[in-house]
Order: sequence, then C-alpha cells, then structure tokens
Amino acid sequence: MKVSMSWLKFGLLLAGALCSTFGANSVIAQEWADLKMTFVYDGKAPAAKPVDASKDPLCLEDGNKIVTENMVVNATNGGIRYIALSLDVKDASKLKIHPDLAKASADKVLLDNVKCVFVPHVVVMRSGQTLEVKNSDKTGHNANFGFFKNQAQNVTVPSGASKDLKIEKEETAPTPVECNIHPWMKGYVIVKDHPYVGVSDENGALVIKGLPAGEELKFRVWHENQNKAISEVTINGKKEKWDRGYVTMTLKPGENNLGTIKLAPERFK
Amino acid sequence: MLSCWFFAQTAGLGPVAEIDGSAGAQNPANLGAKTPLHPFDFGQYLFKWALCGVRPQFWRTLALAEGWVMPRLLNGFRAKRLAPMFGFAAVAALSVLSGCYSEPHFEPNAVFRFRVEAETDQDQAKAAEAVNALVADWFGTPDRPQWPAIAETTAATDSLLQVERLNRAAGPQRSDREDNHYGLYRELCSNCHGLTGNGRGPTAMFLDPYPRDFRPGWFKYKSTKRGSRPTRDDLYRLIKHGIPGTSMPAFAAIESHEHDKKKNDDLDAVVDYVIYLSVRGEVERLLLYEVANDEGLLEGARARMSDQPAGSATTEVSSSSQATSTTETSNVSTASNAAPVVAQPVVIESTFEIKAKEVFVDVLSKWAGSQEQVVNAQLPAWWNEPAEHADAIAQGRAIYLGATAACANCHGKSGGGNGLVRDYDDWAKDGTVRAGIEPADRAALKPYLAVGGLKPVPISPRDLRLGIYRGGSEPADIYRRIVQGIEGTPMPAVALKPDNPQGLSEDEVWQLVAYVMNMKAEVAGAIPAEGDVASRENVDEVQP
Ligand code: HEC
Ligand code: HEC
Repeated sequence: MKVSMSWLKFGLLLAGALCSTFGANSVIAQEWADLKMTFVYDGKAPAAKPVDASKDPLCLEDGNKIVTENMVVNATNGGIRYIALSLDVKDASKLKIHPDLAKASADKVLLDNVKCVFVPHVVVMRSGQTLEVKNSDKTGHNANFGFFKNQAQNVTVPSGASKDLKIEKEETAPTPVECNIHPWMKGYVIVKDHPYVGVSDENGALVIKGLPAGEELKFRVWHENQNKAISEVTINGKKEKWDRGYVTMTLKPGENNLGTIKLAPERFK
Repeated sequence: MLSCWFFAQTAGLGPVAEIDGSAGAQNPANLGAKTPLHPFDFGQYLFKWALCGVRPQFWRTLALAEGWVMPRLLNGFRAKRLAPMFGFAAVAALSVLSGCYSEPHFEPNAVFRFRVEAETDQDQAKAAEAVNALVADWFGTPDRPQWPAIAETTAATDSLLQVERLNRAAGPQRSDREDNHYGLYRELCSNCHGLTGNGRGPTAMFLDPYPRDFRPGWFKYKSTKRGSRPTRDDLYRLIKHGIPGTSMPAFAAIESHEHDKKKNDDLDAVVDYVIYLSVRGEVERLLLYEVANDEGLLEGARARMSDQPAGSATTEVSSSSQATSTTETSNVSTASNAAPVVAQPVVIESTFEIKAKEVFVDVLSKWAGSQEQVVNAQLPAWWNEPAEHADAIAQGRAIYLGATAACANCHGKSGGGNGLVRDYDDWAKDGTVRAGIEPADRAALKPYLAVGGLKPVPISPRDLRLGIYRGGSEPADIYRRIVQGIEGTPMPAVALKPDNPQGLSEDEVWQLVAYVMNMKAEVAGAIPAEGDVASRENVDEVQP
C-alpha cells in the first residue's frame, strides 16, 4: 500500500513536470463549451389559469384569451418554460468570455406588450445595454420595474410607442416588471455583466453557448414560481442536490448535454 | 406586558428623561449582557415605569392597542426568529430596572433581512449581525447620533446637513434654559414613523396610508425626478405643510420660536434628522444586500466581528461618543443638549469596511446630488389668461381620457378611481412580493408579519374629484406628479416628447394639469361616467 502510494505520487509529479515543460512552450488555446439541458415537470402538468381581463375590452379583441404565465408547463412533453440558469460570478471582468460574445450587442433588447402580456416573459440582457419597452397593443400600458441596483422606473407606454431605458448595473436577482393598469401582467428582467444566461423554451430546453471549457463554473437556477430555491433535481433518473439552487460544473469543449432534468411538483408553489 | 416594552422600544416612547438629572442612570455595559427573561422582571419593570411617569397619550395608545393589536403581535412572537428579541427585551427591562431611563436602540431591518433570506434562500443572521454592528459604529444610537467622517464625503455632507445639529432632533424630549427644544423627532414624529424611521411607530398600524419608512430612501412628493432623493427644501416644505388627506400633520408651528423669530432651525433640525435616518437605513439595507450576496465580504465581516470581544460593538459606540457627548453614562443632562455632534473617524480596513464606505458614499451622493435632479416646471404664459385657461381645461379633458396619457385607466373616466384591482405600494411589496409572497395570501403572509412587517394594505388611485393633493397643490406640483409619476406607487410617469415621439408635449401636460385641478369644480353637476359607478362609494370613504 505504502509503496504503491509513493509510486503514484512519483508518477503524478513526473506527469506534472512533463506537462509544465511542454505546456509552457505551447500556447493552449481557450476552448469553449455549450451547455444544454431540458427541464421537465415530474408530475401532471398544471394547466394555466385564465385571467379576467374584462376590465379592458381592448385586451380581448379578436377573441384573445389571457392565461397566467407564472407556471407554464408543456402539456405534451412536460417541459417547463421560463426556467433561467445564470452563471454566477463575482467579477465578470476576470471571466473568460467567448470572443463573439465579449462585447454586448449594440442593439436594443426588446420588451414588448403584445395582447396584454409582456413578450418575452423573461428578458435577458447585459448591463450597459438599452431596454426598449414597446407597446404593440391598441391599449395603453405602463411598465413598473422594481430594480434594486438600478434606478427603479415606472413609465407609461402609449399604444404604438416605445420607451428606451439604459440599464447600467447588474442585478443580483431577476427584476420583476409589472403593468399596473393590467395587474395580471408580470414579467422579469435578468441583467448580468456577462452573456451566460439561458432561459428554457416551451419544451423546457435551455442552452447557454460559448462558455469557457475546462474550468469550474458556478450557476444558479431560478423560476419565478419556485418554492424556495430549486435545491433538488433528478438528472437522468438520479437525484442531485443543487444547494440553494446553485450547481457547479466543469465543462468539456464542445457540447455538454446534461439531459433531462426532472423537477418535482414540490419545487414549485 | 411584553407589548408595553415592545412599544416603548419601537416608538422610543420610554419615559421622558428628566433634565435636572434626578433620574436616568444607565450603564451601557449592561446592554451586552445576556439575561434570561423572567415574567417577574416585567412586572417590576412596568411598576417602575409607571412610577417614572409615562405620558397619558401613551397609555391611551396602549389601551387601544392591547385589545386589537396584541393578538396579532403575539402571533408574531411565535416565530422562532424573534427569540433573540426576548433576550434583548429581558436585558432592556433589567437595565431599566436600574433606573428610569433606558437608552433605546435602532431596530435592525428585519423585514429586509427576511426578503434577502428569501432571495438567497439562506439564513442571514451572521450578515445582519455584522452589518448592524458596523451601522451602530458609524451612526450611533437614537440618543447619541454619529456621523462617519470620511474624506470623500465631507463636501457632500456639508452641503446636505449640519452634523453638529443632529443632537437637536435626536434623543428624548427635553429643553434647555434658553428654551431650545431637543428630541424633536421623538416628540413629534416617532409615534408614527418609529424611532428607527421604519414607519412602524405605535400608531402606524391604525393608519392608511402607513407612515413613511425612511430607510429605503423612496419619497413620493418632491421636486426631483422619480428615483432621486428629495431636496432639503422639499422635505422642509412637506414637513411644514404636512400631507393633506393623510394622517401626516403639518408642523408649521415648529418653524420658529415665538419669542425669537430668527432662531428658525427646529424644522431644519428635523429635516437633518430625517436625512440622517434615511441615510443610515439605506446604508444598512444596501450593505446587507451586498454581504448576503457575496460570501467573501461575509468573511471580512466575520473577521471584523471576531477582532472585537463579544458585546464590544455597543460598548465601543458609547466610549467613542463620550468624546463628543458629555452625557457619560449618567443621564441626558443639560450639558449634552449643547454638545454638538461631531463627525467621527471610522476604521476602514477590511473589504467589508471598504464595501460599507462605497455604499455610504453612494447613498450620500444621491442625497447631495438631488438639487441637480429637480424637474423644471415653468407655468405656461396662458395659465393666467382666463379664456385660454378655459380652453386648456377642455383640451386637458381630452388628453385625460385619451390613450396616450392613460389616466382614466386607473383614475376612472370621471376621476373617481375605478381602475386598479388590488395593487400595493413598493413599501408593502418589499417584504412580500419581493420575497415571493402574495400580499393577499393570509397564510403566506405569516412569516412576513412575524418579522414585523405591516399588514399590506392595497393602494388605490386617488379620487381626483376631491381636489386634495398630497404632494402640494401648486400647478407645478401636479405637473411634476404627472411627468415623473409617484415614486413607490403604481402611478407611472406619463410618456413625454421628445424622448417619446408619441408622448405628450410639455404644453399638453400643463393642459392636463389645468383639467385635473378643475375636476373638483366640475364634479358638482357632473353625471358619473360609465364604469365609475362602483367607485362612487369610495368617495365617502376617502373624504376626510
Ligand atoms: C400621525 C402620524 C404622523 C406623524 C406624527 C408624522 N408623520 Fe410623517 N407621515 C405620515 C404618513 C401617514 C405619511 C405617508 C403619507 C403618504 O404616503 O401619502 C408620512 C410621510 C412622511 C414623509 C415622506 C413624504 C414623501 O414624500 O414620501 C416625511 C419626510 C415625513 N412624513 C416626515 C415626518 C416628520 C419629520 C415628522 C415629525 C416632525 C412626521 N413626519 C410626523 C404620518 C405621520
Ligand atoms: C397605473 C395606475 C395609474 C395611472 C395610469 C395614473 N395614475 Fe395617478 N395615481 C395612481 C395612484 C395609485 C395614486 C395614489 C398614490 C398615492 O396615494 O400614494 C395616484 C395619484 C395621483 C394624483 C394625486 C397626487 C397628489 O399629490 O395627491 C394625481 C393628481 C394623479 N394621480 C393624476 C394622474 C394623471 C393626470 C394621470 C394620467 C397622466 C394618472 N394619474 C395616471 C395611479 C395611476
């Protein structure tokens, strides 16, 4: 036992020495990783609840029906929509960011009001970008942002109009946005100093592209209707703890597919 | 009985200190001690307390409170998290037993901590402990206010308030031989706004709207932009005139002394103190948020705590303030009235302290920079031309009903306010919605109420037909309400040209102002517009 241990150590040392000699001469190119996963509701999909919007007939034109969006589960495949996974870093300036993503796009990020709901329901943007709050409806809306680090805003957006808001700072938590004229309207804005945030689509699929491979990355998962943080998940049949919604992983270059992540109904309110 | 103590502590309505020094010895060293609670202590405490003289109005409040509030309050005490408060209660009770005067303390922001705990899904006791110790070090106590002397903020501080004057509004109610009044805040404001400025004084729960919690730094009625702090003049004017239509009284009476018109600073001293409480409270909030979200900072904070022997945080405050206040440990003497507060140097070494400094500088610059945020409101030339003004009212009516301004969506076609279904202000949302709790869900609210949150009360759009304006009834006030909205409430800022091509022009806003201000006159003969019927009942409720 003793012997084998010291041999092992020696081997490791040797390997380490070799690596450092060769490694120092060759430039190791940073490799990039894509992260994929699919969130699925582990139970009978809850149905969306209808919203009483009769107060504003303009919202109900052309037979429009409005339903709650705080728990959107796909009836056919159980996919959970609007789960967000964000990279959690204290200082994004030290983070390796894929060259294509290094600079935030100069384009505005759109938050539209369509048929009396916010579209998209969860907006993702980077600090320093401009959020264009647009109203494609015939009726008037307001957008009340409960920012914590940025200045809180509550603006009226008349029919057909847009209002630009420059969002300077990262927000630790997703920021709720409400329309007080139509109280069922609620959305979220996620503002980060980096581009690594994914939001699950109608099938529960979530993708984050261009992450630095080969280093430990910490993510936090969030859903607006979570019952406390999502701290337990079932990945491909195996239970895993995501303490307070945090999960740490080291990705290999190229695609990393975590597969199906099942969330028990108790994870939600 | 516990409740009596609770009220005394939260409201700072402890016995009024005797200025001649016959009563009030209290040893700050006692405060650090942990003593188990015994019901007998409270009995004795109450007895002494009654002997020492409590103001009659307080007894009245108590009597009112006991029947209605107590079940709710005690309900709150069931929460485990309040357990430490029992210990503190015992200590406070014991220290009172040694005399009639107990030095009150600022209450930690438990509701905000609750929100942060929900957001981080983590107990934040350690973070809160560290933050509270630092805030006590930097800002002192209700009796001995302090102000951190930091080079970067000297200029901002000087432009904002007179640190030396902070002792005028602080501490228990008292006056000196020259008839200077002291302890103004506790005499005039803390009943409603609470000793800590948390909006939770003993009468707060009976009021709608609730008194302002100064700690988040959100103010409704000001000349500055939404999201900016009010100017000194704004606060001065608001406190002087009160807020019509709410319980917030006018304090014009304290503007100057009868016999010395030149000594006009009681109201200014109160303004200083409101700013002090707000800055203190915001630093506490923001710093707790930072520490809760950055474990690295918490390490720094822990190191800071372990540097000092247990309980020394309080002791240190007292000893450092001895230099400036002649109070020593004895009583609130006449001498202390005259002793001005002096900005105290603070230690800034650890990353935690550096973060605290950043936060303080940030908060202070918002206050000091408010003058630059004033919204220009220049009356148009037509305002005083009767014919043109009448035209403007007609124009304004169309704008009011139009889709661009969207006023009628909330205030109703005839101004009675038919719109919103159950909405809440940001003060209510802070500890509920932001902590994932639906304010109307009674069961879910329990933990929020347990940490001292006020029961969320829905906010409704103002009945504009009453013609009572809370934020001032000058046209410029209404103009500013419309172009900025009302901070902390659902009332949004109107869309304005040129920023928003589809928005209103400045002149159109003035027409809207003219219309709104004419609604009361108009309402007498008016037929209620469709959809406003339900809200007509509200009118009687709202009418003072
Ligand atoms: C009887 C209760 C009561 C007393 C006493 C009282 N206030 Fe108030 N105060 C209120 C209420 C209620 C509000 C909130 C009104 C609202 O939201 O419309 C308020 C609001 C305020 C505001 C915030 C205004 C804004 O723009 O948001 C300030 C500042 C203030 N009070 C200062 C004081 C000071 C200083 C004193 C003592 C000199 C004092 N108040 C005494 C009830 C009180
Ligand atoms: C989303 C709903 C909403 C809309 C839209 C709205 N308001 Fe309000 N408004 C409110 C609420 C809520 C209050 C009460 C705020 C409070 O009491 O703190 C209020 C208060 C007011 C006040 C009282 C201010 C004071 O000093 O007392 C005026 C005046 C007013 N609104 C005018 C308007 C006008 C004009 C428009 C259209 C340009 C408008 N509001 C649009 C919700 C709204």
